[in-house]
Amino acid sequence: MGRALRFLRWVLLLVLVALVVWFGGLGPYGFAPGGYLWGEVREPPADWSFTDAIPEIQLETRLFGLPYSVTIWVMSQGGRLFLGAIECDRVWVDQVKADPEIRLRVDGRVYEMRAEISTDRALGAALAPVLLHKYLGIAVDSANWIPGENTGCVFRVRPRA
Amino acid sequence: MIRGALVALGVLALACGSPLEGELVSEPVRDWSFARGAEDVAFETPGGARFRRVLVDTHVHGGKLYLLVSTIFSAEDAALNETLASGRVRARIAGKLYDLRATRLERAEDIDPFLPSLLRETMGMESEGARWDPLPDRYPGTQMRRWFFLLESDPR
Repeated sequence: MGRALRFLRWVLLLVLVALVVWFGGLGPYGFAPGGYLWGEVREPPADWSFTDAIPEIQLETRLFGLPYSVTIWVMSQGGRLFLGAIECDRVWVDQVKADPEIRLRVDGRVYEMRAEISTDRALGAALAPVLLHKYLGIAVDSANWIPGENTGCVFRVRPRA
Repeated sequence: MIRGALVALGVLALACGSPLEGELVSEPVRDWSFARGAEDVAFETPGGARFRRVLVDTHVHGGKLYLLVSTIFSAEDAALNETLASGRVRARIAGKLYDLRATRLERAEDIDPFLPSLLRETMGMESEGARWDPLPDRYPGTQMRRWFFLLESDPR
């Protein structure tokens, strides 16, 4: 009985530590997801072009009702903000589709936003040069996604209503 | 059979650090078109290092073979460092081994010609005017770290 109680105590301690780590703002880091995004909550700016100099941001969605955050790439075009996934099968993509209310942490500041997936091919073509130049160091005059040849997704991000 | 499958996939070699296995091709290869789309591709340096902390990919354009190395992390990779220093690498392509000279490409005039086919094959994208511009003013320091190598036969 005593051993069982000690074991239970250790399990509870581990769960407590895991929760502290999860919510403690230690993640996300690299490919590892995290939980709640801590930081000063700010009003969204009208112009997001300052993110051109920021390689990665953190996105918080909900997983089974709990905060779940990942590190992602970000693009701006005409001052508007977009999130992109090279592969649409990312966990966060499904979560944002299911619940568009997201939180973003950009340079330590948190913005409460709403993300909507876009299937607009013209928008995809407009963002392709941004993606190539910002992340791959390839400048193009124009670029178009070949239908059926890519599996990416783009989300337009707006302030919550 | 299981070991054979793991070796063929490179999993066992990767796990235990054993050298790449396969028939060594001693004749120079001038046209690498057969390597396009090959899935069983692996590399090691003359010192036996494997690329572990970086992503590696190959690309064939105009019969020439290119090695593309990239990472979003700042960590060093032993195989990349050795390849940069020695300019030599061994590849296994479709079960055969090739000793190669790896020449790093840094000039846009060497990289630009294969960018359209690279974007088409790796990103599903048709492009016009593609050019290598690794340090653009508008996006300072946001790019993945990338290294391009031209691979040519270097039978020993």
